[in-house]
Amino acid sequence: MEMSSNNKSREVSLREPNPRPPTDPVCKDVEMSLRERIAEPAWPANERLLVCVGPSPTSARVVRAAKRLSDRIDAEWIALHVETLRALRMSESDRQRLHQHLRLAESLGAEIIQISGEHLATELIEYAGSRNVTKIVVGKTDPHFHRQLFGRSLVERLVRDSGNIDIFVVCGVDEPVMVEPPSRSRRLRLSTWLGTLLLLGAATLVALVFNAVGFTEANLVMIYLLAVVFVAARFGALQSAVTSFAAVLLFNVLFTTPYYQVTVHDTQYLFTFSVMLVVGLLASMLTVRVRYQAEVARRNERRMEALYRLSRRLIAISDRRQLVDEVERTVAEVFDVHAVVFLPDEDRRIRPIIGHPATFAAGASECAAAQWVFDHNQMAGTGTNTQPGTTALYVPMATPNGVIGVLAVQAEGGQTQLSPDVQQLLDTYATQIAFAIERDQLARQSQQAELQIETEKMRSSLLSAVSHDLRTPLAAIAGAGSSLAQAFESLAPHTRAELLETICDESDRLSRLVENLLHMTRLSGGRIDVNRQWQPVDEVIGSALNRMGPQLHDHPINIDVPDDLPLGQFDDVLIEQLLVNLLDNAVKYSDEASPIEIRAEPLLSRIAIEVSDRGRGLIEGDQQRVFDMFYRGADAKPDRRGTGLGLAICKAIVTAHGGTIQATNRPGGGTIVCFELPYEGSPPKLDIEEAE
Amino acid sequence: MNSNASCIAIIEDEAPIRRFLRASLGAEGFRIVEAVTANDGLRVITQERPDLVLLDLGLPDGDGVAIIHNVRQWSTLPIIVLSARGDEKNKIIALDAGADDYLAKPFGVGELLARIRVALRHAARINQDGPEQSSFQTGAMRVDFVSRQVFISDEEVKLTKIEFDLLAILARNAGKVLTHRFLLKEVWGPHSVDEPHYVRVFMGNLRKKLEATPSRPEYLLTEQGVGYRLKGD
Repeated sequence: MEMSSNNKSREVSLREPNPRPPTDPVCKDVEMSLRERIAEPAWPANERLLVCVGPSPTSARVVRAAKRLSDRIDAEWIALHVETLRALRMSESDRQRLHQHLRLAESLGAEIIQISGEHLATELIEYAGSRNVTKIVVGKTDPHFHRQLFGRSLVERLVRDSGNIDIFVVCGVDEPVMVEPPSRSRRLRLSTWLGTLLLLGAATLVALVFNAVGFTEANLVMIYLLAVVFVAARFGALQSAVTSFAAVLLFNVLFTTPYYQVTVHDTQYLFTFSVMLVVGLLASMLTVRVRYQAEVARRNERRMEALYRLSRRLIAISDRRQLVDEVERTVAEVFDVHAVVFLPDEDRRIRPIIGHPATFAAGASECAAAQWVFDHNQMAGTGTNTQPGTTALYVPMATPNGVIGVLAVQAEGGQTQLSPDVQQLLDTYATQIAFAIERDQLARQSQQAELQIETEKMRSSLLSAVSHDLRTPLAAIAGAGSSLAQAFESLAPHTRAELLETICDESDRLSRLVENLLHMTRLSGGRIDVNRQWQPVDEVIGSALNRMGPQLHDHPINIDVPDDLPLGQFDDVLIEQLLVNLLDNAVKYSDEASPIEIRAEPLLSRIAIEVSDRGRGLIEGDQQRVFDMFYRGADAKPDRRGTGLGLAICKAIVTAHGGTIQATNRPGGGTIVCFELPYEGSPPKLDIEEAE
Repeated sequence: MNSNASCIAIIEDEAPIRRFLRASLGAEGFRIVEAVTANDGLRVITQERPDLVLLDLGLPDGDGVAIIHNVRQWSTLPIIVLSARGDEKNKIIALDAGADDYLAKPFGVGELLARIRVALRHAARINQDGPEQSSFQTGAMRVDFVSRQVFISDEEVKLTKIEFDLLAILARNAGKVLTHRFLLKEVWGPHSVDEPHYVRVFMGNLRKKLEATPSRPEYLLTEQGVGYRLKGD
């Protein structure tokens, strides 16, 4: 397919000492720094990649390059699209291409995120910071080719502002190459002052032109005012104050009499100057505030997005331990805090958690605060009115059904208080988490309820099957016994003998039924003690045959057990019962005097044992169902009754030994039941001695 | 009733069971004494001095095994325990404590009489001060303890030393069940009591050498979960 061929043909090692020379001037500079970096040690662990995706055709290539890089350094990667104002006005074809790129990224394993914002570079870096991204991959083609006044490309902006994040640029030849960020602060300040100067110069020029054309002074002042506002918005308060001052000076020098001299004739100019200053300050303050609010809105958007992601993840987790870990991790990451989830034990008490990475979880007073929160369903802790002395904030996790637990957060790095809007957001988080935990609890309860229903059902079917099969032989015994009791003298001797035989036979039957029932209860309780010991298979076959005794009537028994069959590892009592059940079935479902075979065979770490008869065989399709409880062959001889538990018990015994059992039709007529008993290791050695 | 008839003590709390035991054993000519509780049972044993005791393990007021321990301190009188089927653990405890044999409820009278006969015969042999048994015969098998040889239909079968020891002890106690632990102790010595598979493997060898159909033995019978028994007469 297209993707894999791309991968194969363009696979180039990042550690190549001489990467192919890039064709682009930017990349040439970068190439130098890459050579220096080759000597660097291996990539650190816990990398996260962010790739910026846009509608331009080169974005697809950038996405693939990011995938290769993420594979190489074994990192999660995020494909981010920033929807700026410009992006809202994309053409239909552009939009489709963008979606294609995002789908491509998703199919390659990226997490897809779409956010909105004003400036691409700023948003990228913001988001990267909030997700602990370690590397950003961008294409060299700037999707926003309409440039701001100062012509800085996206790449350069990223490189300048990215701080600790590495920037990778996908050049013409597809290999993401890392760009070294130059030292930051000096350039920052320098550029703003340069900008200020330029703006001032431009404004002056324009004013001069207008002056020459014949504009009034008022309008010239307007131009400078414009410059001041611009500087305030773009470069900051200090720069705008300087601009105001410089503007007034320039205006005074250039446009008022006496020309080319700094004199203050008219006190009105003082007024102009102060107004300009104030306007400049106001403009910069406003801008700062707007920026701050935008910042806050962005941060909240990101947190809500994180919450949404967390909720989706929590739905997929069903292990409570994992749930708690996931929650703590996400809250810590999103809010930059230490997070602990306190869950109550059976008596609704919160206990300290020893050994948690957030050490405050072990404190007794912290625990008391958590308990209070749990009992009163109200936030408490630092920054609130209740128990402000604790070091953490405690948020109740509650659903309409009650409080599930407490989420405790402790701000990192000395800042002890969390602002009210953060508290609000934490509250929202807490509710979501409470729902997830409650859902998990309910799921488990429902499972248990189902289990109980199943057990009840089994018990009642057992009861109904058993009552019939118990009553029938009892009826026969009662009948025969009472006949003998009442009419002994008048009964012929052979009749008496018959009745007595009935009593004996039916007692036998009853005895076997009780045996089976006891086994079944023990086995379905789940707690069977399987006493596995090394023993020879022929021994248990022999004792099963012995127990069957007269019931085998005249069925010839063929036994095929190799002399060198290794010892098996099993519980002799259980396997004897198993064989008795199988032999009983063989007798029940085959004609008198028809042969019954018992075979044993060694397989790889297990022993296979087979009992086969020449009876009617199984109904096609019943091979699995015969092992169900209460299943009885449709064509069982009517006088050979049974509860249908025999094979179910066999299966339970074999399963308890870790083996398998199956029933098949014998070619030539009859049934074969084969079971395998696994063994571990080899039987312990014996001291063999010489024959006499 | 013949006053030389052997006396059997029945210690059993269920009346119907006592009834049929009384009836069938009485018909065989045994003298019966009965007890319903463990304490009663001890009293009857000490007072009546029976030749054999049938002891129910599930007595309401006491542990049947405790009675066995008590009696064994001063008597070798044969004790047969009546136990529930599937209760192998308690059977083994009783046998190791000194009981001679067991019967699993429900049981038939034929089995019961066979076990009683075997037990009485052994007791008689032990009590006689006559020469030790020199050979044993059952069916086609003949064991000569003196020359350490075994013959099936008069043909000798070669056995190793341990195999013969095992066979000998089964033969000397023919008809009685012997636990794995007992056999291990007697044949291999007290330090081997935790390796039951030794006995099983050697029993397997004996069966292969002596039985016509090793998987369906005639003489060397397996009591599943408990031990082995050489068929008596």
